[in-house]
Order: sequence, then structure tokens, then C-alpha cells
Amino acid sequence: MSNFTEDDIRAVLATDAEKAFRMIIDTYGSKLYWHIRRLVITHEDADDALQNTFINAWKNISSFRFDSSLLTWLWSISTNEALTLIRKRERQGTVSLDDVEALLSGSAEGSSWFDGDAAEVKLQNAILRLPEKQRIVFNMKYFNDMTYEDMSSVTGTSVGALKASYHHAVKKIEHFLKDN
Amino acid sequence: MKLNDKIEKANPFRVPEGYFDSLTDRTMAAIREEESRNEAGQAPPRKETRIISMRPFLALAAAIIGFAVIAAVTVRLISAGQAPEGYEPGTSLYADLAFEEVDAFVMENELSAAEPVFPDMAEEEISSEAIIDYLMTEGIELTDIYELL
Repeated sequence: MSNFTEDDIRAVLATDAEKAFRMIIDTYGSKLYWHIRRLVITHEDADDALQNTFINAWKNISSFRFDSSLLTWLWSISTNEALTLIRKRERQGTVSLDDVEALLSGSAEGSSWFDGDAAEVKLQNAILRLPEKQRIVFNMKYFNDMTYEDMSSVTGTSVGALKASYHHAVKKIEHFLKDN
Repeated sequence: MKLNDKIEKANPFRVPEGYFDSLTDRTMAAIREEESRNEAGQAPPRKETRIISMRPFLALAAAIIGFAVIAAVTVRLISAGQAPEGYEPGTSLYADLAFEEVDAFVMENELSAAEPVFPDMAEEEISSEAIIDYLMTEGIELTDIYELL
């Protein structure tokens, strides 16, 4: 994975959209993948959502005005793609949605791409029990150390509400870990 | 117990070997395939139309309406069958009784307008956290919630 700056990408985008987009995938692909993966759990779903994220971004890249950062924009698209998958799972209703092991066993890959110990399984289950928005906020803050301002740009939620949401999520997770 | 004390920010998730190395090429191939499909006028495989996604709700609405119609018809049929002789629809069955006669009947039979008695229903305690979670899933911002408190 390469690490191009947004200015590099912007400069190339003006003349060669495909080359610029390859630079985008190289630079942000991994980060976006892990963000999605933590939400949807299985590699199969994360790969699908990531592909859809970039397809969506490609369709709209020509109209992107760089009012926000590229990463913020992509992060927002990827979050929506992850939520689309999660909601599809909810509609299907075939597996327990707040149990990592159930989700993995229900997937084609099984537990191939998850090797967490008991504590990590418990943490993932605690996170899965959070409401959608809290789960997203928690992951962005806890695992990605995003600033509240960046999270606000991604979610469209105020900084104050995000702080309260994160605080609330942490308390719930700690409570769950303590009880389990 | 604090979150950071117990569990480090480890990553228990793994990816197939070489996944990220080939990500760019695979993604560009997927983009080209999507574009070819669009040009050929083929519908994208994953999108649901609004009608399909609303199908369960439409089915539920149809079931409710159907049940309501059946219930209304059934009640009418039963009521029609039970009408006493000489009864004309739209009139009270007791229209020819004086109020005093009705009062006497009530007292004689110890009838009273008692309050309906419901079985004890254990009040389910709902935590404030659960309420906040519910409100957030309905799209209500936390700042709005706290302003109301």
C-alpha cells in the first residue's frame, strides 16, 4: 500500500482519473477495509462493502470538490456501505447479530480470518450490542483515534453529541465486560 | 474496570494472504465490470428496488386491512343474527323502559359501574440507557435528548 497525499491525488485527478483512483485505493484501501471489517465482522462482507465503496466513489469522483478531505468522504461512503450490509443481515434474520462467533459460523469463511482470544471475542460482542450509531462512533474513536471534528464531518452529528455517544458506548461496553 | 485496562487494542481479524497487494487491481476490475454492465443496460446485482424492500411492510398492511374487513363483516353477521324479534336497527333495545325501571334493575342485580380490573402487570423497568439507545436509533440526536432532561 502506498501513501500518496491528497494534493498528489488531486494533481493527477485533473488529467488521469484512473491513475488517480488507483492512488486513492492504494492510499486508503487498507484503512477503509479495517473500518468496515470491524463493523461487519466477516472478511467476505467487508470485501464486498469495500468494493462497493470504491465503485460508488468512482462514480462520484468527478463531482467531488474537495470541500472535505478525501478520507472523510470515503469514510462516509464506506460507513454507509457497511450499514447497508448490516441492515441486510437484520432483514434476513438468520444469525444472531450480537455474537461474533455466530456471525462467523454463518459466513462462508467460518472463523478462518478471526483468531481473537476470549477477551477479544467478548469485546467484539460488547461492541456488536451497541446501537448502530454508537458502534460507528466507538470504532472510529477507539480503534482509529479519529478526532471528534473528523467524526462530525463523517457522520453529520455534532461534536457534543459524538462525545456523549462515545462516553455512553464506553460505559455500556465496560458494563458488559464486567458482567460477562 | 476500564476498557483500556483490560483489553489492548489488538486486532483479532485476519485477511487472506496478499489481499491488500491485489486490492487495487481487483477493485479496478470490479469498477470496469460495473461500467460494462451499466452500458449493456443490465441491472446491477445488489440493488433492491423500493418496492422489493417494502414488500414485507406492504404484506403486513394488506394482512391488517384484510383482518379488519373480515372482523367487521363477522361482527355484523353475528349482531344481525342475534337481534331480538321486533328489534329495529338504530333503536335502543331498552328504549321503552323508564329510567326508574333501569335503576331498579341495576340495584336488584347488584350491578355497578365497577372499574375494570386488569391482572397485575409487572411494570418492566426500562433503564435510561435503553431509552437513550431507542431514541438514537430513531434518529434523535443526543444533544436534543439532554436538552430535554
